[in-house]
Order: sequence, then structure tokens, then C-alpha cells
Amino acid sequence: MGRFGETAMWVLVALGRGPASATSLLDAVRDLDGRIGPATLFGALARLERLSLVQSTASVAGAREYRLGEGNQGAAT
Amino acid sequence: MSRLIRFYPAAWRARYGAELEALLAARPPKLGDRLDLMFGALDAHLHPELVAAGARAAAAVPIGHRIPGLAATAGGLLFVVALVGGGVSGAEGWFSWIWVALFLMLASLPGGYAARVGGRVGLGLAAIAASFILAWTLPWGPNVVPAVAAIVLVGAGSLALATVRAGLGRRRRWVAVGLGFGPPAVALLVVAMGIGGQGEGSLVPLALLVTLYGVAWAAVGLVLMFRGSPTFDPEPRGDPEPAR
Repeated sequence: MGRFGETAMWVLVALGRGPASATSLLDAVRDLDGRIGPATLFGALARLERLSLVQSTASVAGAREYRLGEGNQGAAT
Repeated sequence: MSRLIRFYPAAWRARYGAELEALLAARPPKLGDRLDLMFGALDAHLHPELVAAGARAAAAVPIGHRIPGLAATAGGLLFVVALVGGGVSGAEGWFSWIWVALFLMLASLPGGYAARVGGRVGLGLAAIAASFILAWTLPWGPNVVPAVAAIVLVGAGSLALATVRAGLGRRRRWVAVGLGFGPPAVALLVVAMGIGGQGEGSLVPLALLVTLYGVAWAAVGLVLMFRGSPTFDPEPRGDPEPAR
């Protein structure tokens, strides 16, 4: 995870509240952890997706929504 | 801002590019964010494995989604072939293929993209419909203006809709419609007003200009075919789609 570790943790905390788009996630993580950059968010998301800790769903409108991966669902609740 | 996104690898852009653009449009970046994006681009180049699988999944376009682009490309090429063939041979039969070409072009327009860009598409369709009504209800002759307006709206409007469907940016949309419709419209106007000179030879350069319309459709169609666009958006599914 490297420098993305802390952001990744806050992403998981934010997704514990429910699915969110990248923009909503950026707002949520900034509320939790102060100002982070957009690339830091996507860097963390890419790593979390690769580890299956986060999944994304393509909506009909073309936007993507992120949610906790199946392995994380129990931990979040 | 899209200039910064260009520094990212193609696979990364295929997976996250649209989302990042939407995010930056909603939350305009400050100086610190721009630096973050530069570091992010470096990270993306150093770790291509993070998005490789997801990008392949995102790039997979069902064959059915390429049909509208295929129709637009075929329509554009057929338009050019019909004009050139008719011009070279002088046979009227060639020109009847133009109607088939126009049908293929229009057939490529309806699609699920309308739900995402409903305002622009609705305005375009309303303008095209209004122009048809004007052209058919008003008598020809002195009412040249509404007739010309109808041709402009239908010709340019349908091409503009195709560029919207193909997902071209604002500038490329203007270039495609401007180059694809501007010169042909001028050529048609010159012919209609009888100022293009006498004899068939003088019409050849004008006919070549009109072929630009077909070239523009073929070019936009190729982009549409490459990117793909569903005619009907699939129903939302409850299962999350892993993007690994």
C-alpha cells in the first residue's frame, strides 16, 4: 500500500457507510482525514480493488459506484 | 485539466479516466491536487499491474454495441461511393444509393446514450422534427429560407447527434460538424442558386465537396464502432461487477 495505506483505510471506513461514487468518496475521505488529492484516492482504490477489498459496479448512467468487497462486508457491519 | 490525465498510461485512463474527469469537473483541482495528479501519473506508470485486468474488462465491448458505429460508417462510405460513382459514370442509378446511405446514418442514431445526454439529444431531435414539419407544410418557392433551414438542421443535426453518441469532445464535435457539413452546404447552395457555372464539368468540384459529409459520417462512425454504444441500455443488475 505504501503512501496509499492511510487513505485506503479511510476509504474502507467511508464505504462501510454504504456504496459511493468516486466524487462522494473523495468528499467523505476529506471529511474524515483532511484534504487528499484525487490521484491519491484513485491510487488507493486501485490497490483496494486489486486486493478484492473493494468492488465497483457500473451503473446504467455510466458512472461507477464503489462498495466493500465481499470479504469486507462482515467487518463493516 | 484533461491535459494532466493524458500523462497517465492508456490502460489506467481506460479504467479510471472518465471517473477522474467527472470528479475533477465536480471538484475543480487546486494547485496541490494538480501536483497530486502528477505524482499519481508517475505511480500509475510504475504500477501498471494495478489496472491491467480492469482495463481489459472495461475495454471489452459487446459486438452488438458496435452495430450503430458500423451503420454510420457504412452510411458514410456508401454516401461517398454513390456520389463519386454517379459523378464518374453519369448514371442516375448511383445517386439512388444516397437514400440508403442516409437511412443507415439515421439508423445509427437511436440509442441508450440519449438517457445520459437527454437535454442535448432532445433539443436536436426537436429541431430536426420541427424542420421536417416546416419543410413539408410550407409551400416551396418563395419559402426558400425554411427549406434551407430544414436541410441544415437535418443534415447538421443528425451528424451532431452522431458525434454526441460517439462521445467526441466539444471541440471535435464542432470540427466534425463544421468540416462535414459546412463545405457540402455551401456547395449545395451554390448549385441551388445556379452560380456554379454551366456544364457538368463545373459540378465535379462541388460534388467532391459534398462527399465530405460522407467522410465525416464514416470518421465519426469509426470512433463509434471502436468505442461501442448500446442501442438499449441493459437493466441494472443487483450483482456488483468486479473491476479487477
